[in-house]
Amino acid sequence: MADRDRSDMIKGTLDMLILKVLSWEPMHGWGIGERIQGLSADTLAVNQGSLYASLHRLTREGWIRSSWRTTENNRRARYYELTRAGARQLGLETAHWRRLSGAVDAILAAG
Amino acid sequence: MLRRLKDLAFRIRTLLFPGLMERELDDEVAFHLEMETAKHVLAGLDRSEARRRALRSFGGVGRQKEAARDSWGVALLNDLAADLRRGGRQLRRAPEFAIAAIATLALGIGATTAIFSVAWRVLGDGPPVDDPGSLVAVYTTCRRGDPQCSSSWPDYLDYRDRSRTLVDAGAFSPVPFNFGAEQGARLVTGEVVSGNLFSMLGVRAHLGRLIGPADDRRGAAAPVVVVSHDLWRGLLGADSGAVGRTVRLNGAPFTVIGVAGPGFRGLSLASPADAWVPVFTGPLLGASVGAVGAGGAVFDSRGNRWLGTIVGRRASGVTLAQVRQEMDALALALGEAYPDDRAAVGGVRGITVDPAEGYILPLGSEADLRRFLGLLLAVVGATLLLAGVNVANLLLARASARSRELGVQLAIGARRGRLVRQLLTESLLLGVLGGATGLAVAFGVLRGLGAYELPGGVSIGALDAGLDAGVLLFAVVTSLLTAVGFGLIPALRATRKDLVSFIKGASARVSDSQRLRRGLVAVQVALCVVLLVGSGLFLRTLRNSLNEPLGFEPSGAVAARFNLTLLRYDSEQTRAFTAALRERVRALPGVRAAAVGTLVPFQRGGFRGIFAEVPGYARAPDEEIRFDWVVVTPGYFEALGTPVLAGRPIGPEDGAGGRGVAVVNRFAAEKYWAGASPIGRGIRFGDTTLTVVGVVDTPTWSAVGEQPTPFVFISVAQYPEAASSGFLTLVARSDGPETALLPAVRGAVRAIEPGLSLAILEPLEGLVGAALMPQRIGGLLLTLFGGLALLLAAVGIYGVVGYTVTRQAREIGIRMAVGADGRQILLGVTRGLAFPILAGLLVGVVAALLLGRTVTTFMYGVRPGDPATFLVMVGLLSAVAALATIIPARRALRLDPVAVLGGD
Repeated sequence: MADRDRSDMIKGTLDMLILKVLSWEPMHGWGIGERIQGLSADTLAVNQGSLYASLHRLTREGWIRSSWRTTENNRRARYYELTRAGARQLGLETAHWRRLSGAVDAILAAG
Repeated sequence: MLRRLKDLAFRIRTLLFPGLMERELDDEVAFHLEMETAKHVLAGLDRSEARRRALRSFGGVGRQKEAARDSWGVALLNDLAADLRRGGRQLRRAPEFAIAAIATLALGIGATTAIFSVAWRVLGDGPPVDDPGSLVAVYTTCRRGDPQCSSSWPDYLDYRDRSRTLVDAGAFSPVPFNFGAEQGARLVTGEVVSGNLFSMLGVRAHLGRLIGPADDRRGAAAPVVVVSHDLWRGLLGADSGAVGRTVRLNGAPFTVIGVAGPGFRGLSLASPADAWVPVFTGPLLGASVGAVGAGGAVFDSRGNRWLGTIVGRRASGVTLAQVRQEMDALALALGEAYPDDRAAVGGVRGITVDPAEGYILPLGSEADLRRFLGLLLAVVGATLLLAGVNVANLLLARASARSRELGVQLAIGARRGRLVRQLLTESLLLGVLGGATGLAVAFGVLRGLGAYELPGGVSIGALDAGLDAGVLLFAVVTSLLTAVGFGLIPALRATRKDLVSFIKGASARVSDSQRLRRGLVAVQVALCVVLLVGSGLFLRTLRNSLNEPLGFEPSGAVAARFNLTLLRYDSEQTRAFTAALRERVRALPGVRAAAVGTLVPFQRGGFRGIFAEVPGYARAPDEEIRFDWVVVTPGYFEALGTPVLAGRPIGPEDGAGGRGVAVVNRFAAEKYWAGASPIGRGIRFGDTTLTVVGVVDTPTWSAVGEQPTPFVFISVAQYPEAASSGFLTLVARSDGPETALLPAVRGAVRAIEPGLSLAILEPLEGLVGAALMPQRIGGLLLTLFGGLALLLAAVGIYGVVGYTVTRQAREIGIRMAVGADGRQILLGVTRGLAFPILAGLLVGVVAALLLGRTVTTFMYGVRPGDPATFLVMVGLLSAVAALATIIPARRALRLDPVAVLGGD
C-alpha cells in the first residue's frame, strides 16, 4: 500500500479498537476507520474492508448493535453503538492488552 | 445464553431476510465509498480519481462483502444447496445402496407413522369442542359394581342442578336410526342429546343451527335433527339447501335444522354419531328404541338407567378432585333420599367422574386400548430403530467404499466439518426420500388395517385416522431424526484424519467401522429376539384361542342382524316376520338349520340382564342372582351348533299358551342346581315362573377365555314382546360354503321386507375373528416385522463377515499358501462376531422377558415367559445367524492364493 511504514493491525486488536471508539459515541463504519487512523496519528492502517467483517462479527457477538440514522449531512448511514456486554468485553480486552504489551515491553527493555 | 439467543436471532434473520441483509450491506458499502471519495475530493483529487482510490483502499468490494456475508453464516445455506446436489449425485451413482436404504427407512417410518396416527386419534386427539381440558364424564355405579354405567334421567337432573363444581352438564345416549332421505335410507348411529349439550361443548354448525334448549322441552320437543358433516356430504349429497328438509327417522318426520362442523362425530370414540335429536323426541322414534322410546315414564324413573353418558364442564379454578368430592357427597345424599332404588350391590350408590379431555373411550377397555397401542408403538418403534441401524450399517459400508475419495478430499485440505456436513446431507436426503416413500407406506398400512379392530371394538377404519398436520409433522421429524441420528456416527467415522492412511493402502487392519458394525449387529440381534418372541407369543395365543372350545360351532354358519323396531313393527308383526324369514331361509338349498334370536355369540353388545330367584338355591347375603337372557326361535341351538347336554332345546311345542319354559347354560346349571339336574325345576323372574326343560353347553359370548355367566334362553313364541325391542339376529347353518349363503340370506330378507337394512351380514367365524382382532393385529405386525428383523440381522451379519473376508483376502491367501487349516481360517473371519451375536441374544431375551409382562392381558393360554417360545425363536435366530456367518466365510476357503496375492 501507499505507506509501508504504517503498521498492519495486530490480529484481534481491531475488534478492541472498534469497541474503544464506539465507547465514546455511536459511529458509522467509515467514521470508525477514520477515527482509528486519526487517533493513531496515521500509524495504524485500518483495512477498510475487513472493518465491516469485524463490525458484523461484533454485532453477532452482541457486543455492538446497529441502527440506521441520518448523518449531519443528511445521509442515511448505519450507526454502530456499544452494548453493555460490549463495554464489559472492552474492559476485558483492554486489561488483557495492557498485560500483554507490558510483558512485551519488559522483554524488549531487558538487556 | 442470552448471547446465543441473540446470535440465533441474527442467523434466523439472515436466513429469513437474506435480501434485506444484502441491501443493507450494499447501502453501507456505498455510504463508505461515498465518504471516502468525498475525503479524497476534499484533499484535492478529481472525482473519478478519488472514487478509484476509495475503491482500491476498500480492497475489492465483492471480496469484502463476501467476508462480511460469511460472518453472517449465510455461507451455510449456499453450502447446503451444493451439498444437496452433490448428495443427489452420490445416491444416483450407487442406486442399490440408495434403494436399500430408502426402502428400509420407508418401511420403518411408514409403519411408525401409521400406528402413530391411530394412537394419536385414540389417545391424543379429541373432538372439536371448546376447552376440552375442563370437560368431565359422569357415570353412575352399576348395580353389579362397575364404576362406569349409565344413569337415569332424574340422576342426570340432580347431578346437573345440585352440583356447584360443574358450570353445566349435558347428556347423550346412542340410538340406532333408520335414516330416510329422498336420496335413500341408511342405518346410522345417532344420539339423543339434552338441549344444552351442543352449546355447553361449544360445537359449531357448518350450516343452519344446532339443537338448543328451546328444542328440548319436555312434552313439546321439536322433531328436529342435526346431521354430521359426513352424513350431509354422503346421504344428503352436500346440498346446501338440506337445512329445512324433512327426513324420516325410524319412519317419523324430522326437520333437518343444521349440519355440525366437519370432524364432529359426537364424543364417543367407538361409535361415531351421524345424527342428533333432542332427548325428549325419543318417544317419537318408535315403540322402544333403547329405553328412551318406552314412553314418558323413563324421564321419571330413577331405576331406569338408560342415559349413556353425562358430560359436565368444570367451573374455572375447580379441580377434578373437587368435582369428585362433591359428587361423592351427592351420591351419599341421593342414597339416603332414595333408599328403595337399588343403586348398587350392598345398596351403596356411587358416582364416577372421569376426565373427558379427548374422546370417550369404550368403557372398560381404556386400559387395554392404551396398553395395546403402547405395544404397537413399541413394535413399530423397534422396527424404526432396526431400520435406522440398518441404514447406519449401509452408510458405514458405503463410507468404507468411499474411504479413498474422502481421504483425498481431507488430504487436499477439505475441512472435516465440511465433509461431515456433506455426508450428513446425504443421510438427510435419504431421510427425506425415505420419509416421503414412508408416507405412502403409512397410507397403505392404514388402509390395510382399516378392517381390523382395537380392543373395545374400536374399528381402525372408523377412526378415520389420516395423515393430518400433526401426523405429517411426526413423520417429518421422525425421518429427519432417524436420518441424522443414524448418519452422524458413520459420518464422523468416515472422516477421521487417519483415513489418510487408507490412501496409502493400509488394508489388512480391521477398521473401527468394522467394530462399530459388529455393535450394530448386536443391536439388530437383540431387537430381532424381542420381535420374534413377541410374534411367537401372539401366534400361540391366536392358536390357543382358535382351538379353545367355544360352546358353539362358528364354521358353516352365517349371522344377519336387523332391527324391526326401526320399521315400527309391533310384537305380532315381529313374530310373523321372524317365522316367515326362518321358513324361507330353511328352504334355501343346503341349509340345515335356521333360527332367530335376540343375541348370538360375539355380536358385541345387546346383553340384557334380569334378576331372578332360584327356589332351593341358598343365596349368600347380598348375593344377587342375575341371568343374561336370550329370546330364541326353535332350532337356535342347532343353528349355532351348541350341544344340548340334558333335556331338550326350545322347540315348536313351546308356543303361546303353553307353560313357560327355559333352557339354561351349563354354567348356570352347575352354579344354581349344584350336582342335581335342573330339568323340571323352576326359575322365578318377578311374577313369572319358568320351568327348566334343557341344559346346553356354555357358549362363549364375547371373548375367548371369558369368565362365563348364567344364561337363560326363552321362547319367542311365548314372549314375543321380549323380542320386539331392538335388534334380532338370524343364524343359518348350511353344508355349503358360507360365502354362497350370504347373498341368499340377503335375498330372503329383501323378499319379505324390502325396506329392512341389515346391520350385520357375515359368517359367524367373522364375528369370532373380530373379537380376536387385537391378537390378530399384534400377531400380524409382530410376525411381519419379526421376519423383517430377521432378514435385516442376517444381512448385517453377512455384510460384516463378507467385508472381513474381502479385507483379509491377502492374509488368508498367505495362510492358505503356507498350508493353514481351513477350520482355523473360518474361525479367524467369524471369531469377531461370536460376541456381538451372543450379547445381542442375551439382551434380547432379557428385554423380551421384561416387555412380555406388559402384554399379559392379550395372552391366552401362554405365559409371556413361555420357555418353548423363547427356545424356538432363539434357536431360529441362531440358525439364521450361523448361516449368515458361514456362507460368506466359506468364500474365504475358496480364495485362490495365487490370484489374491498377485492381484493386489
